[in-house]
Amino acid sequence: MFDYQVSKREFQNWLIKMQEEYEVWAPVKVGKNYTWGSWDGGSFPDEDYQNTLKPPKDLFFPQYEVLLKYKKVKGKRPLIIEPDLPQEKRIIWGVRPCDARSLTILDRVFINKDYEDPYYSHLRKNTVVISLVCQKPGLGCFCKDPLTIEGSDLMLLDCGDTYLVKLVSVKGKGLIKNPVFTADKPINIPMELPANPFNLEIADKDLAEKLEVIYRSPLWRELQEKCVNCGVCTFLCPTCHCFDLTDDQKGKKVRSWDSCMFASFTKQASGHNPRPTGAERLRQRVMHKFRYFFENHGIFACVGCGRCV
Amino acid sequence: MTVLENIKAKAKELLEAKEVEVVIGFAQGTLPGKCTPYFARTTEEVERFVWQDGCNLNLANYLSKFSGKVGIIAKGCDTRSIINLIKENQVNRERIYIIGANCPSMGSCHNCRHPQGVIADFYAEQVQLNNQDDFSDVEAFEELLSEERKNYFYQEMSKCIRCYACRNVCPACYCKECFVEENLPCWLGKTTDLADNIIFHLTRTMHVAGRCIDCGACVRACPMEVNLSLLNRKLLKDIQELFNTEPGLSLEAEPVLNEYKEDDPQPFLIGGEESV
Repeated sequence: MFDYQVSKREFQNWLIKMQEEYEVWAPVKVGKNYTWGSWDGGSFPDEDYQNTLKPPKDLFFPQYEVLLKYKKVKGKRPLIIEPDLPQEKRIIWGVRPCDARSLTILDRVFINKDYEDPYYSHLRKNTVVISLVCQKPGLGCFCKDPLTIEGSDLMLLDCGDTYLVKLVSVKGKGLIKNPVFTADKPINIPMELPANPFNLEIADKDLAEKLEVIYRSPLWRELQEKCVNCGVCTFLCPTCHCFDLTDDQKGKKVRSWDSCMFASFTKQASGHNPRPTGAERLRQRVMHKFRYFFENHGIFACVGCGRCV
Repeated sequence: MTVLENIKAKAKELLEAKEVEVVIGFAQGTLPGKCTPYFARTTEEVERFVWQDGCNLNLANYLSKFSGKVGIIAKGCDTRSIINLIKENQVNRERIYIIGANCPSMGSCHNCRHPQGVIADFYAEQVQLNNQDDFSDVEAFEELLSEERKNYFYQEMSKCIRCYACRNVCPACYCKECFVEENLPCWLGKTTDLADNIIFHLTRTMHVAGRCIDCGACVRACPMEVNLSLLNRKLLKDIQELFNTEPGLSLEAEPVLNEYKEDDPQPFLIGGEESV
């Protein structure tokens, strides 16, 4: 059920008001593509908006992130300077439901019972996610549920001049204290798209078991033949989260994205590489998403956004 | 017979006679209009080959994946890359059988001068096309103010996410270890800041200078649509103007920047114009 109907004009005014308190991010059109950027206070995603080239992943898990700095102190232990975590409160709106859902997958990695990553967790807590329902699938899309509310705080459905609004989380409800929304009485519109063009199953529940069986299959060698082992599929994947920890020359401990597709990913100091060819690397990516992640968290690390396709 | 029929017939003949273990070509991709590299090892698999608009990757890149005898369906760009790879001892000419065919994706590169294979063991079609590359795109760019050119490159380079798709699809980028992966010393920072991105792209451009044949694989592979072609084409234009040559056209001629001659033009030096 959607809870409110609001004209785009009113929504815009509301969002402009929110800019006093929040950094507002939106899909910004550059050329013919959309990318994440600061909202200009006036633009709405047009009908060409399928999804952003890059997922919103790096708004929470930046491609390059300084975790801490350190200085040598003569005769003493090095001085460690912890970074100030960003305090800005953010709204990101226009996120596609698949990408919003991907955040709940990243949450399982960075915020779990054993460990809470302060950098990721801080950015997550300070951010409100407003998703925008897809009306037609992109060429590569294979999501299961375009109306998934997972990961969204508020959800919008474009109805021409108006948006239908669904209050999803406590955080989202807390945001709606503005007259624009409260003046109208809540409405109850069933969550149904005019015609659901998405009818794609990502995978079977027993996929993880099937993958276990084909671990040694010649299929991987066959599949990798055309793969050039670049980082496109992992860097554009909203759920891929492998990273490298390095020290840069200026006394910074840095976390940056890595990719299991790269030959250097598993290369050891001795020169030995336990994943010597593309076959092992491709297999690792598939296994991680659909078997290991499933075994650890009970869900696949894939939302069907289709960027890898 | 159509070009595709000729290609298939030759591929089957090679596989049946065991002259090659595999034939590298294209099959229909997952998305409409896209074609994907395909490796046929049996005559049945040959039936999956297509030759149409969308067959635009440079297949020469895949030769190094195979150690035995390999057949390859090659358009102009692929054959020029193969020539370079042979000259740089990356590919053994004896090991490959080249099925030449005109590039079926003519729409995507307006200025292509060599849509047909430059070398081949068999030509699947005989039509000779004569196009002229006038480098008008590069000239138009050269006309801009330096500030405008700088801004354009800054804008393009800032889009890069350093996935290295451009490098990995490039047949000229065959280094076993690329400078970007070296960490002792670390030549290149890991950020996607403009400075690091520019160092990556300029270094790569200069490294493939004189060897890049402007196949456009890097541009097509880029998920962020960074325009890399302008840099590469500027170098091709300079090579054309200074040395009156084009890379990848002959098995004999040394790649232009691989050798030094006393009378090489050097207009970039003070007083260098005089020697041109």
